[in-house]
Order: sequence, then C-alpha cells, then structure tokens
Amino acid sequence: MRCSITGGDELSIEKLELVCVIGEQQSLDDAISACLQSKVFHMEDAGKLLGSLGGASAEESGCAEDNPYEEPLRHLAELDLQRAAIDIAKEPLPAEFTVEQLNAEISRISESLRTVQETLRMKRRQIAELRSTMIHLRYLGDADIDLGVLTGCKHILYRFGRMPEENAQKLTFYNDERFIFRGYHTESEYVWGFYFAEEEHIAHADAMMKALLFESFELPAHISGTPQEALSSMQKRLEDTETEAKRLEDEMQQIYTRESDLIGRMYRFAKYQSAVYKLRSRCVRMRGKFTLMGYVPLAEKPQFRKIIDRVPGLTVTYENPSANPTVQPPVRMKNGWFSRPFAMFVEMYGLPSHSGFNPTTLLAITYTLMFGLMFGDLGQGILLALIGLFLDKKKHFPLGGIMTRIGVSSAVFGALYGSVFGFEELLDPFYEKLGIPFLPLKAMENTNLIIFGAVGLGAVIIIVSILVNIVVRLRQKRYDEAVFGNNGIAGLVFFCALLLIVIGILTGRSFLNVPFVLGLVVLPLLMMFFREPLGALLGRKHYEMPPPGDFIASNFFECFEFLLGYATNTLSFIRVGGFVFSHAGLMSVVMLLADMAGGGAMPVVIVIGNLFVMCLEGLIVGIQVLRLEFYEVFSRCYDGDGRVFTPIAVTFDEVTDHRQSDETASV
Amino acid sequence: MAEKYRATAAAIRCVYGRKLRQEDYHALLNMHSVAEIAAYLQQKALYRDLLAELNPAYIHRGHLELLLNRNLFWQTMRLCKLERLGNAPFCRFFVYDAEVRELLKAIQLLPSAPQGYISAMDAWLEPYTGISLRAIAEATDAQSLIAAAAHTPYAPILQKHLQKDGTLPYAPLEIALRTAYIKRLLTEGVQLLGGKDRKALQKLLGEQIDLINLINAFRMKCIFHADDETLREHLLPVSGRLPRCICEELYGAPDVDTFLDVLRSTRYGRQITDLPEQPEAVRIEQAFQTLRYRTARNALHFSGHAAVSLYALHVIGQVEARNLITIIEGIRYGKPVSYLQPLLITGE
Repeated sequence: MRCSITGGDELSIEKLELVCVIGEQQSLDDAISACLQSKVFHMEDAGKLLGSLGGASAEESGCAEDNPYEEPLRHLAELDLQRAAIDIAKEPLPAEFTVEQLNAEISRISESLRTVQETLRMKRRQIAELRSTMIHLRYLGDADIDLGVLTGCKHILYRFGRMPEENAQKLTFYNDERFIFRGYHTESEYVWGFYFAEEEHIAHADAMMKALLFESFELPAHISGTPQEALSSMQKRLEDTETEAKRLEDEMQQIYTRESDLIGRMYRFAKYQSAVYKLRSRCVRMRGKFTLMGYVPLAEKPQFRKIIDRVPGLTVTYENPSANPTVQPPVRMKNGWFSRPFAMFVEMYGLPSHSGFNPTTLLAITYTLMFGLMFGDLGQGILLALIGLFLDKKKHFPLGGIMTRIGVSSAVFGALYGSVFGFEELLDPFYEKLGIPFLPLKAMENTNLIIFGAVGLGAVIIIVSILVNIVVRLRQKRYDEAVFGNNGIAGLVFFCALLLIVIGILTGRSFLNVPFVLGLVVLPLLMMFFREPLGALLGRKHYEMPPPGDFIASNFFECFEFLLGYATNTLSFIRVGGFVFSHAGLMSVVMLLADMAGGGAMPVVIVIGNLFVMCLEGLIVGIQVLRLEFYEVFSRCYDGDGRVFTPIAVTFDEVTDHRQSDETASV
Repeated sequence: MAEKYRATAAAIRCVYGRKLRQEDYHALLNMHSVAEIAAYLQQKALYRDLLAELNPAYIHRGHLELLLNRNLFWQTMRLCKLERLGNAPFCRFFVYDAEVRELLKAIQLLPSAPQGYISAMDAWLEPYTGISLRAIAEATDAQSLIAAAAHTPYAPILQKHLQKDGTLPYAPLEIALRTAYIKRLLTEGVQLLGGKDRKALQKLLGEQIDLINLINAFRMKCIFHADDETLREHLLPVSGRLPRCICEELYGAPDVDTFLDVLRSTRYGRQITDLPEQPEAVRIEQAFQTLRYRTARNALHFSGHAAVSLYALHVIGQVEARNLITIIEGIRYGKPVSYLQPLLITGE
C-alpha cells in the first residue's frame, strides 16, 4: 500500500512527508541501513508516534537488546586508532564481518601488540623514575659526597629529601638526638639534604623528621660517585632507555601500519552496525513484524524511495505530517543564497514550527538594511565585506557570510553619507560632478531627517511584522489572534491610526475627526479589549466569562500595555539614527587625533582609529540590530518553538571514545 | 584618624576583592588532584607562590596550615606597614592572636615536650612576637613555660592556672587566654577609635564573642551533654551583643531543643533561615561560622576605618584558609563534592 498525500507548508519551510516502513523482522537492519544511506531520513520513535495515533501500546514500542557490536567496538577503541591512521571517510561494506570474525581479528592484533606495549610501558616508567631522581639529585649541586658509599652503608642508614627551611632551623633543638642532618641546597623555602642515623635509631629519627615535614625521596640502589658523577651516569642510562623506548615505539607503529586497513574496516563496520542496533530501539516490533517511522523532505522523496525500494518485502507509506496532529514534525528551513547565513540568528532564537513561518528572509533584509544605516562607511564597509568573504570561503566561519552582506550594505550607505574611512569630504566632488545636490547626506547636518527617518523605518518594520503575523495566524486558523490581537488586524489599524495622528501633529494637518476616532481608534481598541470573547465567538468555541471586575481590570491593563508597547517599540528604533551620529562622531574624533598627532604618525592613528571603530562599533551595532530584530520584530510574528530536522547518519570521526553519539540524529 | 589611614582602607578592600569567590570554590571542589588545586591557586594573586612547591604526594595538613597562616599573617602585616598602622594600638591584634595560638600549642603539647612543640611551633613568628618562642620550645614543664612567658601579659594568667601537681589545664587556659585577647582588643580599640568607628568595632567584636560562645555552648550541650556549670566554664566571660537575659536563657536551656527554640528568637537565629527542627551538630556549627563570616564581611563593607576593616579581613582570611584546607584534604582523600560542599563557609 503506497499513498502519496503531499503535506507540509509554504513560507520558506521545507515540505515533509511522514514515512511509515513496515516489514518482516529479518529485514529490519536492511531497512535501517537503507534509511541511513538515504541521508534524508529523520527517524522518530515509532512507539510514540503510533501511541499517539492509538495504534500501539507502550510495551510494543522498541525493544531493549544487547548490542553485539558494543564489545568489539570497545576493544577497538582501546587500540591506538589515531596511530593506526584509519580512513574515516570510507563507507563500510555491508556484511563485511561477523561478530566472531571481528572478535578474533581484534584479539590477534591486541596479542601482537601486547608484548611491545608492556615493554614500552616499563621503559617509560624507568624514564620517569630516572628523570625524577635526576631532578632531585640536582639539588645536591656540587656536594662532595660519594653516593655509592652512602647506599652501601650497612650500619649507618640515610634518608634523602627535603624539608621546609624554617623546620630545618628547628634542628638546633635536636643537638642531643642520635641523628644528623646535612643540608646541601636551599630553594623555594625548602632545604634539600640527607639525614643519617644508626640502624637502631633510624626509626626514631624518621618519626622526628616526619614531624618536621621531611619528604623523603628514594635514591636508586645502583647509584655511585658524587652527585655530579651520578647525574652523568644516569643521563647516559636515560638516553639508552629513551633509545630503547623509541625502538619499541617504531615496532608498535609498524604493527599498526601493517594492520591499519583491517583496523579501519573493522572500526567503521562495528561503528555502523552498532548505530543500526541503537536505532532499532526506535522501532516497534510485534508478531514478527516491525514498524519504523520518520520524516523525509518532499524534494528528496524520490531519492529516498529509490534506496528503500531496493529492500525487498517492505511496505512503505507516505503521509501528510498533519495526519498525526499530536506530534510536531521537525523543521528544515528553505533559504535563498542571500538569507542563508542569517539562519544562524533564527536558530539562536528558536526554529519555526512546521506550520509557522520562516523569518530568515525578513531578518536578512531588515538586518542588512539597519546595519548599513547605522554603520555607513564606504571604506570600512568594503573592508568588512572582504574580511567576511575571506572568513566565509577560506575558514568557513559562520559569521563570514553575514559580514559580507552587511559590509556591502555599510558600503552603500557609506557612499550615500559620503564617508570613506572617516574622510567625510572625499566623495563631495564626485556628487558635485554627477549633479546630485542632496548627496552626500551629512549625518551631522541632517539630524532631524535621520531621527525621524529612523522612527519611520521602525514603524514600517513593525507594520510589516504585524502583517506577517496576521497572515501566519490566518493560515494557522487562529482567527482570534489574527483579527482581534494587538498584532492582528485590530492592532494594525490602531497602530496606523496613531501614526497618522502623530504625522498630522508634526505636519500641521489634523486627521482628528469623529469618524476617524471612532472607526480607527476606539473600535480597534474595543476589539482588543474584548479579544477573548470575540475570538471565541469567531472560532465558535465556548468562552467562560470571568467576573466583570477581573475582566475589566486585566483587559484594561493589557490594553494599556499594548499602547505603551506600540510607543516604546517604535521609539526603540531611534537607536538606528543614534548610531549614525555615533559613527560620524567617533570618526571625527579619530580624525582630530590624527591631526593632533600630525606628520608621520597621522596614517598610523587613522589606521588604528579605523580598526578600533570597526571592531567596537561594528560589534555594538551588530548586537543592537539583533536586539531590534528579536524584541521588536520576532516578538510580534514569530514563535520559535520548532525542532530541527536531523537526518540519521553515522559519524566515524569519534575515534577516541566510541561511547559518544554514534548518530548525528537526536537519539 | 580614619582620614589618616584611607590608603590602607583602600588596600584592604583591594585585598578583599581578590579573595576566593563562590565560583572559585566551585571550581576547586571539582578538581581531581592537589596539583590541579595548586595550579588553579597560582592564577590567584593572593596565592600565586604559596603552593607552587608543595609536593602533592607528601602534602601534610600541618604544613598546609603553616603556609596559609603565615601567608595571612604576612598579608596583614604588609597592610599594617603601608601607613604604619601597626604602630597604632589594637592593630597588632594578629600578633596577639598568633602569640595566644603558640602558647596554647605549647600548653597542649607540654606532656610531649620539648619535641612535641618544636615540630608544631611556627618558628617564622619569632621575629614578630613579644614572647620568645625559642624559650617556650626549650620549656620542658609548666614552670619553665611560665618563665619563658615572663614579662608578657600572659605570665600572670598562666601562673594563676598553675595546678598544685605542676600542670597547666588546657581548657580553662584556652578560655582565659582568649578572654585576655578579646579584652585587650576592646581596650586598645577604644583607645584608637572614636564615634562611629568605635561602635563598628565594638559591634564586630561583640558579634564575634556571641558567635564563639554560641558555638561552644551548642557543642557542649549537643555533643558533651554538659551541665550548666561545665558549660559556663567553656564560655568567654565577656559580654557580646546578646542581652544578658537571653544569654542566661540560652545557656541555662535544659536541652538542645530548648536551646534551639531560644536561639530562633535571637538576632542570630533569625539570620539562619533554614534552621531545621533537629539540626546535626556539624550543620549548626557551620551555620554559626557562616554568620561569623557574614558579620565580618558586613563590617568590611560598611566600616570607614582601616583598623576595623583589617580585623574583619583577618577573620575572613582565617575562614578562607580553613576552607582551602578542607578542600585540599578532601580532594587528597578522594571525598566527593557533596561531602565537602557543606563544610565550606562562603557566607552564601
């Protein structure tokens, strides 16, 4: 049975289909492998989906079973996979090994490595001990003592080590005791030296010296000569041991190189099969059959179908995701080349829901526009765009693409402002030649225009946001919000009416008449005030009226808040104009400093000043614009409650710890 | 006077700003070895060189205490030298404190004299104290110890407590010496300060006295089930900020529950917001120590005089040293974070 009811939504969100695969249990691994190979399958927990559809009970969903590939994978991870330099780019071949073959091969390789590894470990321990002793012996400096004599003493025993300097001074109190301490070197508040005692008194001396915080270090039994001679001989031994360790390292490397291909194949195979086993837990199995479910983008359905159809005996159905309204389908946004880098900001806020709207294009346009307005400089904009291009193409830095676009915008507005790296008069002759009298637009000479322009731009952006919200809510059949909400038709009419009143006051033209006030101010306000009962009426839902006092109080304050919100949100855009002045002001300071520096220092001051302004102001403007987007735009028309579409895949690059996620899917 | 030591007051606040914070303790608690702790503390200005040479394998609580106490002593002394604050009365409080600690150590270790005290003595203190540590170290009995402390304010106290069998009882002497220390601070504080500053110091010292007495009283009642008379022998006979009638009610409480009921009605009980019905002894002691820390911190925040701030900083420093010892010892013996966390006094 195959049905192909197309589902999904528009508004820049990829259409998906809900896929249900049913087959015999022996085909389960092949089915999962096919889904993995397709690279476009977002797997869901079939138990949950079927449970929500009322088709399966909790006991039927998934099955806990031992993963036979865990053990070989663990043993493989114990090998030095970095040293084996396995190729993680290759795909594993199906049925390349059995579990028994894997275990046998891993045991053979581990056995061949064991002797070398153990000897190498011993040599490394010896090297560490030699180095430690040598460090301690250096504290004896040029002491004229024969360490061989000390270590050879039978009746007089010694201890070598260090004690805090101030405790060494306390030894003057112990003149009558039957041990002596000889310090040779003082460093960092510690005295290094020996204490000696007869065999029968050494325990007493040890107790006393321990109380004085003496830290004892053992000297090797074979040590002889003065400390300097001992150091020389130990240096020789250290070099010999290091050479031997190097030889063992090479030997081990040879084994790894010889077995590299096999280890790589086994690792990839085990990892892949282990991932398949883990994905089994998301399937439902009962009466010899299995069901697995997930989502596939409509555009990639043919590709998926081609691969899944290769597995015999499977029944694959494709449905509209809305067939199961209780489960929110994942989301994959569809963005054009211009808006694609800005998806990062949208993801930062939260993905749109499957039935929602993708705001990336709106954000990309408004962000680019506002950044250019606030950071207008032809030179700095071009430089920013070039840096962004480099970061994007060479370093694949996520912000690179955004920097390129906002850099170009900055350059365009910089050209309009006539500002090039802070030189405000550089483009004047150019515009004079072209005969454009109103350009360049000097920020400091057009303060009113810039301030009112910024607020006007804000009002337009808010109107666009409300319009987007109306469309989205109508599509979602949330009529109460679309019509009566503060971001719905009532809110839009009220906001536009307020704008007209303000424009009227500023231009000296009065729109205030009774029909205007009643129709465009009072009526929308009343609609917002009664939005809940009106929404219920429109949606033919039951509405339980709260006590009149509560209703009036809560809606009065909410409407008051809406009113305040319109005013503050619009005025919030004044910052766009503010930053135009701030940029011009900062650059004039740079130029002033350059003039004061004069002569040869001038270019240096200009370069440093420009870089400083670019870094500081660029960052601040970037953050401020993002704030405007999130608070003034997204809060009106965007929910951000979606979840990401993540096709299942196996990653082979986690070679150090196989316990880390085997799949990139949200397992 | 406060005008005179303004630079010192600023320096004290600067040092306080460098003290370990909650996030530092959190990071330290999550470390796996003493070496990691030493490396972390090396990044802190106050501990940069302190633990650098410490061998994690041999770290010893005694040595750690020595290093931290010495660090705190020298830090306080450096602050005193800045504007010669050390010449003013009261401002040698940290030296008096060290002297009392050394004397108490010597009295406690007198049975194992002289080796016991020699290994425990802070020999680095010798140049700064008014008593000869060398003479104390050489003392083998109570008489020679009193002789070693001759010409100091401590000699009459020791002499007064000398028993007929020639011994010096530790517990009463600890109370007597600590009382002498507090009284000396109060007397010298009054000489040095006036007006608001004097009141601030008296408030701080009063709160410290109250809390020390509350800790001792609770310990005696809860752990040792001491009677009224024994309990009073272990309290500082100096008035703090709690009214005498409340003190009488507290110390005369027939059992721990009544003690806690009275405590809840006091200024200190009200500050311990999460005081349970039947708290464990360790837990309530931690709560008192936290209050001690907080009162010192408040004094540091609000006092204008360097001397008051210096004393508060010293109390905070002592708490910090104790916290560090707890963490280092705990990590060394592999104690879990959940065990160590409640033992720390952070004022939070």
